[in-house]
This record gives sequence, C-alpha cells and structure tokens, in this order.
Amino acid sequence: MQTRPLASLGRYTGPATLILSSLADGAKHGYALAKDIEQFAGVHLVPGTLYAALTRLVDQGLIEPVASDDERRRPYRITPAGAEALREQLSEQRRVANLGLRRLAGGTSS
Amino acid sequence: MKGSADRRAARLALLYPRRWRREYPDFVGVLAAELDEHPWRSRTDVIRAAIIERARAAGIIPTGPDDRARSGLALIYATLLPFTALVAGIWSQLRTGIGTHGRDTPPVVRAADLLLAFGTVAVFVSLAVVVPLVAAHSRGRSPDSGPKAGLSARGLLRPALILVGSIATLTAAGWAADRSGWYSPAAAALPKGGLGYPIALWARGAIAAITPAWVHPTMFGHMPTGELLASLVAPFAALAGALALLRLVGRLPLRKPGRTDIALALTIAGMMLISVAASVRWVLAHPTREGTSQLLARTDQLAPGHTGWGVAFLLLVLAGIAMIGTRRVLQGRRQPTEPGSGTSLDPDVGWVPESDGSGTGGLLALVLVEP
Repeated sequence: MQTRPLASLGRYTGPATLILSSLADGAKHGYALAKDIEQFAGVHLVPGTLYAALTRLVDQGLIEPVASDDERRRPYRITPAGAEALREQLSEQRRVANLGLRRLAGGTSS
Repeated sequence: MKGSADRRAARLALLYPRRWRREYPDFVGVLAAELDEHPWRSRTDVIRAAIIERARAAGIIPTGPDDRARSGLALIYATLLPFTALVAGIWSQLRTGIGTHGRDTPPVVRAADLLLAFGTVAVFVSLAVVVPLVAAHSRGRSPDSGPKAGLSARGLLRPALILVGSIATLTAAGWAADRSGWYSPAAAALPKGGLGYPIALWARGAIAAITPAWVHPTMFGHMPTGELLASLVAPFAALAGALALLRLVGRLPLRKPGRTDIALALTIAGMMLISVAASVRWVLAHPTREGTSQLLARTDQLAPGHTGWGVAFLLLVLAGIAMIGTRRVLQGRRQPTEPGSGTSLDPDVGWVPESDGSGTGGLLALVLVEP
C-alpha cells in the first residue's frame, strides 16, 4: 500500500485537494483560487492556509507557477503529477463515500 | 481604507521568510482583500502559517516525508546548543554552592557529576557532528539532500557575525560586571587571570544574563553600574547569540542520517533526560541553611527556588523538543523511499503524515531572525 501524495500533506490535504480541483480546469492566481473554491465547494480558505497549501504543492511538484507580466498576480497550474495525485485522492474519497452511503442504506460493505 | 489594508497586509507578510515572500509576491494582495472581511481570523491564520514557514526555512520542520530524518537531526543539534548553555549555568551554580550551603551533599555532588558528564558528552558529540560537516563543506561537497543544498558562504556570514558580536558583547559585559565589584557566587570560582580569563569574562557575562534580578527587580536598584549594564545587556546578547547558533545549525549541510547519527541523536536525547532528572532532583532535594528545600529558599539569596524551577522547566522543554527530533530521525530512517515518488511508505512503519510540526519547531521558529 502506498501513501497518496496528497495524504502526506497532513492537515493541508483538504485545502490541497480543493486547490488541485480548482486548477484542474485551468491556471488561476491566489485570489481567483480562493473565490473559485468558495463557489464550488462552499469552503472559505483564508490566505495563510491557502498559501501554506500552495507552498507544499509547489514543493512536491504537483503545481507550478506560470510566468506572468503582473508580479502581483502569479497564476499556478496543475502538473501531470498533480493531476495524477488528484485523481488518486478523489478516487479514494469516492470509494470511501460510496462505502459510507452503502452502509447508510443498509447494504453490505466491501 | 484599501491603502490601510494593504499596509497591514504588507506588515503581516514580513512575518514570512524573505525568500518565501519573493516566491509568492501576490500573497499581500490576497491578504489585503481578506483583512477587511475576516480581520482576526486572517491574522491568526497568517501568524501561524508564517511561524511554520520560518521553521521550514530554518530546516527544523521537514519539507516532505523524505526530509523527515534530516530535519530531525537539525532539531536535535539546534536544541543541544541552548541546552548545553543552561546545563553549564546550573553546573557552575552547583559547583560554587550558589545561595545554598550544602555543596558537598550527595544530591548536589551527583547532580554536578551528571551535568559535567553531559557537558563532556555534548562537546564530543558536537565535534563528531561539526568536524565531518565542515570538512565536507570545505571540500565544496554538500552531503545534504534537504532544503539547504547549495549552501553559500554568504548564508553563513550573517549568523556567524551575529554570533561573534554576541560573544564580544558578553565578554565586555563580563568585564564590566567583574570590575564593578558585585559579588557573583556563580562566577566566584572562575579563573581571574591567564588564558582562561577571557573565557571567564564571557562566562561572567553569560551568568549576568540569568540573574535572579529579573524575578526580583528590586535587586537592580542595589547593583553597581557595571553589573547593572551587564545584567541589562547580557540577556539580549545571549539571545542573539543563541538565535545565530540556531540559524547556523539550520543552515548546516546535514547529510541523510546514518547509524552514527542515530547513535549520536540517542546519546544526546538520553543525556538530556538524565540532566533534567539531575537538575530536578537538586532543586527538590538540595538542603538550604534553614533545612528547607530549595523551593522555599529565601528571596534574598541569589538563587531563589523558582529560578531553579524555571531553568529545570526550560531544560525539560528543550529535552522534549530533542525527543521529538529523535523520533523523527528514527521514523525517517525506517521510511523506505520509492525512486521518483518521494512519498511511498512502508505500511508497517505506522507512518502518520507530518502535520507541520507547529507544536515543536514552531516554538523555536517564533524567534528566528530574518533569513
């Protein structure tokens, strides 16, 4: 069994999953990321947490900064490794979610 | 209003390391927009995150699973320095019987012997750690696999200069205190001449930094000018020196830990625990003139009980941090790495993802100077 890259981020696993999910449809800068995540997940990421998660994702090579003319708005994009890590993480979450839903419905667990 | 938020955000961003601020230039803008909506939540979140980032920059919080063992070593070595300084202070007090009258009683003798043994081991451990690192560095070959790879001499210059400045200031403070005529039982046994004199003056300055006058400020009013100056300047000089040492350790090109490193780490951790036990035993059992415990010593004595307890508590905190570093080294060593992934872990290891270490290295990072 391998530990998923996102799971190794500890308390930043949740924010990192949201960030990667947001970046999955294109590059975004910090402010746009926070707004997008708030819109699709209803989660408000405060800047300290948002950038801590961004830092760790960059360190792991799961996202990368995109060259920009505007120094105050640096966009980030997901890397192939990041896309794979997100796919693994979401699949695992779906597996757990399905299992929980089946158990709630009184079905058998697998 | 927006200009005000920008200024507040810029000030808060200064809490982060300079390198981090350069890499995330858009942070200030995002924070400024947030400060108006959630002022307190944003502030506390940023302060916490900045402390963790500084600890990561100092190398005492791992940047990833692969960095766990290396950062553990850095944490242990960073802890060893202030711990040894405190032990030296307690030992000198025990040897000179500061504020007490039972220097030759068994608890004192045993505690002094144990602390002396710790000091001796600490010196040898430091040599065993520093000599190979300096040798590797001077050959221009960094053995590091962590975030400090590619270390430049310039990065070491600033903390080295601060350290030298701290030593010079403490020595000058010791000289002023020595000439003032103020009696310091802890310094009474130090040499008054010869080659050891400059070291004695430095020790005198360092001892002035931990004067019980900080607990009983009325003592300041009785001090002659030299001792007063030393007492006021020495704590800051000692703190600056300790922080510079921490930065130097954080910037050392530590290699991935081998068996020798683990043995050294365990030795340090074990000796620290024994030293804490010896200190506490002394504080609890050392008889005073009145036959009471050190805890109840009169405040006009130069080593009131709570000073001893305070030092013992600091030792315990430092030893606890070193234990966490040791655990990290051991876990990091057992953690196999899959080439290319950097995150593959053996399920038998019982790996718990590192949250961020904010409860440990974060304490140290609170006071780290700008990188």
